[in-house]
Amino acid sequence: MTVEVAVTGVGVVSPFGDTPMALWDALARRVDARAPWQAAAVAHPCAQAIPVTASGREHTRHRAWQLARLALDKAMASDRVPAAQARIGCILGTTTAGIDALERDLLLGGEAGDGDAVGALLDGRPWGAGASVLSAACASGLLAPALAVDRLALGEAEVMFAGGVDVLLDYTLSGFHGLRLSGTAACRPFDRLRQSVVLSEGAAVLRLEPLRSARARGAGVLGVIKGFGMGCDAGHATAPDATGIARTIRAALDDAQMDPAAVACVFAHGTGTPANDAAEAAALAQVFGAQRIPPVAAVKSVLGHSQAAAGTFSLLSALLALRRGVLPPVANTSEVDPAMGNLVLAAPDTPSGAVALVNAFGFGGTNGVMVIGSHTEAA
Amino acid sequence: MNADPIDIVGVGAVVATGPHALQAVLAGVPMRSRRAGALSGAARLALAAAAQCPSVGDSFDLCGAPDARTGICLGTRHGAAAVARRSLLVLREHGVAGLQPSWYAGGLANATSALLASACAFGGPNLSFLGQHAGLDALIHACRCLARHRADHMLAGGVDTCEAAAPPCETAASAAALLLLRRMAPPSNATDARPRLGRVLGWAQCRPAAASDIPAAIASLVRQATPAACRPPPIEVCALEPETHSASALLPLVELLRAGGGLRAWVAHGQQELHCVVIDSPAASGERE
Repeated sequence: MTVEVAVTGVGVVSPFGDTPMALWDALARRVDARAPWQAAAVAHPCAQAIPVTASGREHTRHRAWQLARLALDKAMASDRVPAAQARIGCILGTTTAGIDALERDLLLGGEAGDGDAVGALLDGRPWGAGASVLSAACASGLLAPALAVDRLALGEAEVMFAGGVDVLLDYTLSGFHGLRLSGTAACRPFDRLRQSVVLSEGAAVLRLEPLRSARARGAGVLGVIKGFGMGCDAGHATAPDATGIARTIRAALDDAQMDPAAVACVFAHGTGTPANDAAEAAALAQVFGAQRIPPVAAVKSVLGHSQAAAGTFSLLSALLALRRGVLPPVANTSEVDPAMGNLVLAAPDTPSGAVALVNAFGFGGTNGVMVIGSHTEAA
Repeated sequence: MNADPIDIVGVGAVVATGPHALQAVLAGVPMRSRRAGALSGAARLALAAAAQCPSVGDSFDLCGAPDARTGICLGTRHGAAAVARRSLLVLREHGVAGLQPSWYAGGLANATSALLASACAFGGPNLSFLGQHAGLDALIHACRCLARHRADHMLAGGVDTCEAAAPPCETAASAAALLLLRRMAPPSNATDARPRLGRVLGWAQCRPAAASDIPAAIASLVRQATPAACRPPPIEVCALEPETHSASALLPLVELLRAGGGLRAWVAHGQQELHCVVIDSPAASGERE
C-alpha cells in the first residue's frame, strides 16, 4: 500500500455507550452486559442489547439503518473541519440489514415487503463520491474501511466514512443457537473451557482520509491504516480454515510492507467458539511461528459479537490501545487452551507497541485482516 | 483516478422469467459441489453465467488449494431472502427447534458469492454488495481490487432470483450477468492466454442530493471516469425501474461486449445512486485479440 490512511473521526452506538471512551472503559473494567433478550418471536436467554432509552434506538422496521445513521452523524460531526461534499463517499457493512424489516413483517404482522435496506440508509444524503453497502458477513465491519482505503488510494474520494452495523434479531440468535455457537455462558476467547459467543449489536463508523491531507489541515489523527488483506477460505460455509486465514494475514503484512516481527499485538476475531479460536490460533502460529505470536487481545470477551459492527469495534479498540500504549485485557479467560500453543493473552498492563494486526472473519469463509499503526509511529 | 485499464476476458448472462423458466435454465447446472455442498438456486444461476466465461467452468470442484489471486464481487438486490423468509416462517410456526442449522448462513446476502467461491475454489477477495444498483457497484469494486493488486482476476456482476424477491419485485425475472476481469499488469496477463473482449478504462460513482441533479451528475461522472487520453465516449444510460434487480444494468452491457460495441460510457441509475464505467470493446470483426 503506497498511501497511508488516517482515522480522523469516530461514531459509535453500542450497548456500552455512544463514545469511544465508553467502549474503552467497558473493556478496561471487563464489564459483563449479558442479559435475557426478548425478540419478536422468542425470548432468548443471553445477549447484549442497546438500551432503548433515546430517540433512534427503538425497535422499528429499519432499526439497523437508524443506528447506522446515528453513528454516521457522530462520525461526521467528530471533526472540526468539514470536508467538501463533492468528494465524500461511504461504505457500510452489514450482515443482516434488510432481514430486520422482513423479521418485523413476518413475526409481528404487517405486509411482507421488499426490505429496500439500501434506500432506507442512503435517502436524503448526498454522497459526491458515492455510497455502497457491503455484505461480507461478520468480516463486513473491517472490510468496509479496507475498501474505503482503496478508494482513497485511487484518488476517487478525499474523505470516506466506513464501518459496520447490525442489530439483534430472532433470525440471528436462533441461527447461532441452531449452529450451537451461542448459549448463556460468558465469552471466553481461547480458554480451555470456551463454549460459545455472546451476540450483541451496534454501529460504528470511522472517518478516513489520506494521512498527508489530514496532517496538512491539522486534523486530529487517531491512528493510521498501513495495509490490509482480504480473502476467502473457499471451503465450508461456517467452519473456519486456518490456511485461508493465514493466507489473508500474510497478504495484509505484504500490503503494509511489514515483517511479522514488527507486529506488537493482535486484535483477534476471537469469538470464543471452539472451532473459530482453534483456527485463528493455528493461523497465527503459521504466520508468526508458534513461539513468536504477539500478545493477543479479544474484545468480544466484553463487547460481544455485534456481527458486521464487530470488525469496526475491533479496529477502533486497536486504535485506542495504540494511542494509550496498553492492550485491553481479555475478560473471562482463566486458562488458555493448551491446544492454542504458546498463545499469550493481553493483560491490563500489556504494552500495545506501535503496530497492531486486526482480524475479522465471517460465514462463507470471508476473511479480512488490517495492519494499523499509531500516529506517533507514523509521524 | 489513478488506475490502469482492466481487461475483460469473459462475459456470461442467464435470464429466466418466472420459477418454471428458472428450473429450465438450471436443468444442466450441478446441484452440489464437493467443496461447497448443496448449491442454492442463486449460486447455480451464477454458476451458469460464470461457466460462459472461458476456463471458469473448468475450475468447478477442482481439487487442491484455492486460487488466492482470483476473487468474486457480486451484487444482489434480494440476497438470499427466500431462505431467510423460510427460516422466519418456520420460527414463527414451530419455534427454534424447527430450524435447520444450515439456514442461517444460507440466508445471508453473501451466501451466493461464498458458494460460488467454494465451488470454483476462488480464494481471493469475496465481496457482496446490496441494492438495486449493486451489480454495477460490484463490477466497479472488482476493478478497484484489480487496480490495487488485491487479485489478478475477478469475477464480477449481479445475481438475483425471483424466488428471493418480494413485493414490489415479485414478478422480476431471475438473472445473472457476470464479467471476468483481468489485471493488465504482469504477471497476470503474462500467464493468461484468454483473448480480451474489451477493457474497462475507468469508473466513477456518486449519489446526488436530488433527482433533479441527475443529468448534471451523469455528465460529471462520465468526465471523472474517462481517462485524459481518451476521446469523449458516447454515453448510454440504463435507468433502473423499481422492479429491476442487480443484474439489470449488466445484461445489456454483456450484449454490448459480445457485439463489440466500441467505446462507451455505461451509466446506470436507480433511486439516486449513479454508477459509470467507461469501456472499450473493439468491433467483433476487427481487432479483437
